[in-house]
Amino acid sequence: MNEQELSEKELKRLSRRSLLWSGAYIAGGLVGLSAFNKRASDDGTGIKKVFRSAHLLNEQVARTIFFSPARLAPEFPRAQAVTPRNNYNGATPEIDLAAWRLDLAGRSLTIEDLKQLPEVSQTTELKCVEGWSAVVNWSGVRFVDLVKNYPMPEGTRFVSLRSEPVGFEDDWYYVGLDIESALHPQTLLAWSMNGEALTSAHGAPLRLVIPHKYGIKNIKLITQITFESMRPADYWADRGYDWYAGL
Amino acid sequence: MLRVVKKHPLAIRWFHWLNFPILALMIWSGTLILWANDAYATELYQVGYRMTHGGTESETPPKWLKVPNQIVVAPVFRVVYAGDPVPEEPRTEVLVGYRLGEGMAWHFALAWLFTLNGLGYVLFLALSGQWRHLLPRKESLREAIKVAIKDLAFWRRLEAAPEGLKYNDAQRIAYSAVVVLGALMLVTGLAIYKPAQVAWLATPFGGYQGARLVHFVVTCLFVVFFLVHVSQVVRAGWNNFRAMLTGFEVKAISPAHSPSGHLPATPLRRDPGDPLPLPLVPRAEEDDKTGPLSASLRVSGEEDSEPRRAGDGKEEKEEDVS
Repeated sequence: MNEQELSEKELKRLSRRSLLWSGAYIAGGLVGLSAFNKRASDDGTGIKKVFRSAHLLNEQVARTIFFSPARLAPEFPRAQAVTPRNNYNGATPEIDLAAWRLDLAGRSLTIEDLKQLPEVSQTTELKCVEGWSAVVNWSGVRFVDLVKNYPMPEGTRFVSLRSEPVGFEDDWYYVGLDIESALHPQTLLAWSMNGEALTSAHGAPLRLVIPHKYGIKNIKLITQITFESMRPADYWADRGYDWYAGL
Repeated sequence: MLRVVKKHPLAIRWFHWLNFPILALMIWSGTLILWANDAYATELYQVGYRMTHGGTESETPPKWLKVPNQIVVAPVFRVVYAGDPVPEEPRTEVLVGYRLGEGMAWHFALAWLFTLNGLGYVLFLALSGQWRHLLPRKESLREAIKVAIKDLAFWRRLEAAPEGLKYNDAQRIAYSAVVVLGALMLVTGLAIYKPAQVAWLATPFGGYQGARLVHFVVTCLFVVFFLVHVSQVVRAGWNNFRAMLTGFEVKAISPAHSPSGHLPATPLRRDPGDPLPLPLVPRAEEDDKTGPLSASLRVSGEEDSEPRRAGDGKEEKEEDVS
């Protein structure tokens, strides 16, 4: 007799057993989920530790499998470029552009210093973490060309970019990048958008354009760049988002 | 003659019941991501509006496209949008806006489980031969339409699958389609997860926003599948549902049925406690394939993955009559 058949008596027994298992599965699932929501510890930024670990695991996978400086984000015809929305969370900082300096790891640079470097133009899609996207044309200097002229210290694994305009302390913003992403050929420090000088709404006088990261990493009005050996802080990672945010 | 026969292998039951909570949580966390911003749903609406209104946009897109401020669960279920009056009353509510970080955390962690469970299921179907019950046949489309029309008579009981077959043709199409939907989910999900590094994945969908749209539409199709599936399961009744839990179902089988070839005619199974020994039957050949038709006609799970239960007549083997 093969095991593919049962008597009705055996079926009754099996049904009872299966129902008990089902009950345990449902109860276990619900109790587990609610216990997880209530008890599992937060990592201090607003998400569970286990989710932070999952983000870091995904980051490892992304850095080993997906990322390559040879893999480019799609570029679009210049004519498709539009004006993206101003996504400043708080006030749009209007600063005295003439007084602006970039603090590049202790070195003070003017926008004219930066414009001495080779200018490139690219039309890429800016993707907001909230789902909208916009094709925009940007011009500026490749981050990799910047560090060719202003070499970074040995052992640099991360870059920290800060926007700390005086008078807008409530809206200071900071972004951390892995060095591979920063040195990607499509990572620009841009000073113009769609052929015009950046406006305050879009990060004048200098902003980051990094199409293989979400918009949250495309920091506007950069005031300071430092090279780091340890993972630097990141505004949205400190608020429960993935630190890597790679696309 | 009523017989209790194997229908669903243990592995398929586990894949099925694991998929349900995983997919539910994926849809929930996906909704938190969708509700991070109104722009997406509103833009979709405006695309449709422009096409039907000669290129002009709607001045007043419907409120339900917006991210709700909260969903009030009790005492009366309702969805509250910005600007809606909220009366003072004790209530239970679920916040849905401003939970993007949480939605992404769940979504990108569970995506692993969804993928592994889905791949495991497809692999099992392929290796166990269960795909034969599932893949549509040449005549499936025609037959499925007949089944669907019959099933529209909601006051009637559902007909069982044709004797000897696990699923009817509408089920074959539906259950195969849902595997395709799962694969589309995975591909579009990857395409919008890494749209810069694997941009080519989004190309067939018309780019990043196209892949997002397909990802969203497929989610809606999953929900439609779920609703139809559950209503059909309710109509099919306890015997059918029990099979997804226990693996076994009670089937009416006529012993004289072999000519049409679906099931070998075999003696009624005795209870293990019965005093009489079974009639001796000759041992089946090593290769128990019964002919060219047998592969597609075998029913009760020869490819079963469950270990044999101890004491369940393990010395005995039943002959497969061709």
